[in-house]
Amino acid sequence: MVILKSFDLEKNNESRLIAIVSIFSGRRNPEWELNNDQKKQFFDFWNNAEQSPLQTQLPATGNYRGLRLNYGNIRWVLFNGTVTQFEKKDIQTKQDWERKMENFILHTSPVSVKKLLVERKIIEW
Amino acid sequence: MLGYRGFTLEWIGKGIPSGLSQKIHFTLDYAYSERGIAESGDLPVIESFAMDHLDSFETPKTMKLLKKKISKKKLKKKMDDFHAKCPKWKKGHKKWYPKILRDAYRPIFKKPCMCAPLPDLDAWNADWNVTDNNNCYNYGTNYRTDTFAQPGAASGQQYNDLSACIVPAGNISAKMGALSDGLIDLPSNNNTCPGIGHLVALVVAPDEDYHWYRKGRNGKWSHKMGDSLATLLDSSSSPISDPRTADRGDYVDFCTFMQVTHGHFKII
Repeated sequence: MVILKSFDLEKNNESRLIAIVSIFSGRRNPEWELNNDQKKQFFDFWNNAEQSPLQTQLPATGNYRGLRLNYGNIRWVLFNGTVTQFEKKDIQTKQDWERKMENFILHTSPVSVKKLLVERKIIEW
Repeated sequence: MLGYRGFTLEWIGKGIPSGLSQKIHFTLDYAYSERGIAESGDLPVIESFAMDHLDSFETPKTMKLLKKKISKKKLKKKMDDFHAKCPKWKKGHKKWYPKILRDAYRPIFKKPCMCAPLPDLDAWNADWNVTDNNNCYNYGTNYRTDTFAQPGAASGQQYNDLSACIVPAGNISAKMGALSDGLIDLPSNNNTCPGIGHLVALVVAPDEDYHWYRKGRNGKWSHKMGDSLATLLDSSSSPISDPRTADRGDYVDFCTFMQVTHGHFKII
């Protein structure tokens, strides 16, 4: 049975929410920290999203292979319309219609990373 | 079968022409090298040549005693006995003959890619801590550091120029970094496994990134793109028989094949 949990920012506000975008193979991938407003907005997206029966499948190749969020011991992976959360042994996946969560996170990246993502046609400016 | 069993031809010294094995053993109907086993009817020709030039051969130190004991006449008799008995022996063991010989020579002649790692995708994909923190260089060298290892970092010679495979003097390329870590450049290799260690291939996405592929024990290539899953497929989802011709996406520059000698390199 999947236990659906709402994410409570008040209870989980001690950790940094770090986004990592998979675009390189050898070099370290770009990563950045979301500010409190961005964190809250992401958690709102997550809490209000509908459950999905299919876990997010990240591709093994390609010039963009998804996005990862690390928040203490909690981890999300985002790609192509679904978002999966891993917390210890609990796994739950939600739908990301029109990739709103994914695009939102990508647009929180610093300008230098955003330029790279635009060049690679991963996001539009 | 004891006694005379054929000839071993060994290239001594450096400069082995490409495509030749350093050591080949010729026996009846078969030849063996580190590349494997092949049918060959060359033994009588080699025997004839050897008998004609026996005195001019340089005898290995360990064989000097033997050379004194065996005369040309006796050696000829041993060869004749071998040729007479071997077909009879083979007849009784026809089904097993190649396998028996292959097993017998295994300690001397390695199978192709025998030292290469298995494409053990699960070891890199099953635990996201491993998947996230090990990149193509870790997977290529088959060395898990959990540090997203960088060529040259362990030796203080980390690359600083990814513009191409060959970079201007004074700059450090990914290949130069890997060399300083202990990998061996094999620029003239033609997708063949080295006798020791395993084969990797370095490619570059100009001004952006580098990537590694590794050749497995089964001769197939695999790779791991950064923190993504290790895979046997290229960017077109096709198996990779040769990284030079595979769909490599943005990694358009093929730099070189390199040899990873296990225990003789360090990466961080």
